[in-house]
Amino acid sequence: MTAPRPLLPILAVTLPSAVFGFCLTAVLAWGKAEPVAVVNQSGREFDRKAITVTSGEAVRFTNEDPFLHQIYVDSPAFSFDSTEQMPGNSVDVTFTTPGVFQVRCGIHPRMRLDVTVVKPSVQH
Amino acid sequence: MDDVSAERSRKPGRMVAKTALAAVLLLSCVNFSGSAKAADASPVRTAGAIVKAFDHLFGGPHEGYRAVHAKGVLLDGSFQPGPDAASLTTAVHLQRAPSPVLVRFSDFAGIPDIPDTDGAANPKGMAIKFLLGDGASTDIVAHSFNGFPAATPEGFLAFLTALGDPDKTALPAYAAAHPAAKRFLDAPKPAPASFATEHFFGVNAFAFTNARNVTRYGRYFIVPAAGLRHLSDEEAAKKGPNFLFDEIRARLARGPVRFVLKVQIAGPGDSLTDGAFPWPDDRPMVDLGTITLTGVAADNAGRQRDILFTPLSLVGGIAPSKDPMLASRTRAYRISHDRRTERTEASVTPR
Repeated sequence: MTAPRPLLPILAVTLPSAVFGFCLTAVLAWGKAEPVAVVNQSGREFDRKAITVTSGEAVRFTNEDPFLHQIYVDSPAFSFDSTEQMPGNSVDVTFTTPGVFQVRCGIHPRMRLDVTVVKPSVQH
Repeated sequence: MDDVSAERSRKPGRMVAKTALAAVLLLSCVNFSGSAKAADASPVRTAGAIVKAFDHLFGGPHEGYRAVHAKGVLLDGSFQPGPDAASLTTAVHLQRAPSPVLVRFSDFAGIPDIPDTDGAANPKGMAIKFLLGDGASTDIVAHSFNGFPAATPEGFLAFLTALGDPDKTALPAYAAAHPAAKRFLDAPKPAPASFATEHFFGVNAFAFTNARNVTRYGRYFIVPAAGLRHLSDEEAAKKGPNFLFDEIRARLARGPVRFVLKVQIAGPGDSLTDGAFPWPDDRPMVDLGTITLTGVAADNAGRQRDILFTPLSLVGGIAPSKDPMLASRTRAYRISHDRRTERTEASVTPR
């Protein structure tokens, strides 16, 4: 009869690896949505006034300024609040809910971008 | 007994391990997802709770007014950089050319008509907006206490919650366990004789980078050219409810009011992430230049309402430290700004 293998040493090795591996996959999956558009923030402005995307699509917001931006949407149907965006950094935002949302910068209140999110077309 | 049950009965250790593994994986990833979302959502949630805590303390929200520092005055002026400023940073407003500025002095509380002599009217606030041309701007937001009651947003929320607790033992108990809160509460905060005789502190550290790409961390100090002067309790008791605002208008009618803008440079061991406590007095100071206030700004009430001052409104050459209060302050000010301007057009707000 084989003696039972001690449980704790196995867990000590396998659990962190499994957790790390699983969560790394989750992280990659989280950020995998390839953005369909890039909106630059430059001169304390978005590079356009409005954009239309399909529900589930992501928009990449780049910071071309030499200082911080911090974008957010605050509406009952959809909201997000980015971390502070250092110069050169980008933030991908996936718009999951149909509607019209205003993206704003929490630091520069004149920055406003209207995002129209439409439902995906039905495939037959 | 089916195969699965037989397997369970033969290898209870492995089944426990598998169950534990599955549970840990599930919990880990739920937690990870939660914390990843929290990284986005938590700062704004905490900032929102801080704004609500101020509302609770001050009977707000008061429509059209800030959640805190509600009573203020907006002044016009200019900033002339000093010769040492450019050695610290490449920031555009700290080179040679003067910039117009808007300065807002304020009483602390979120009560629009609070008497200037009320205890909740201190510390005073001084917010500076450097107007950079083409509608752009950069800000400094300071108050008259060299420190803060907490080092973190969560700590500050807990402090405000204790402050607003109807149980009178809550605040003393909180302060007894939190040295920053105790220091803030115990420190004398006398009313100034004038906004022009008060000093102000930026509290949170920033990274200043010069043309040689040398970065030094520092905190803003704003020193009145007229010298410090505060009132005794007896003197303050004789003053009217708006004496500071009346005084600054009268003083400006007689001539300009000046402040020297400085940066205290961090020394070894000084915390760059905890604004609750001051750095030692012997740290070197760099004079950035002189703020000269010349008059009361036009359309004062409307512009005070519409303008957002925030410590993270920066330019190249100045970057935030990792002090978590900077992000939280910015979100709290944004929340307060959004709700007081929701019926107005923000086009008048400098970028």
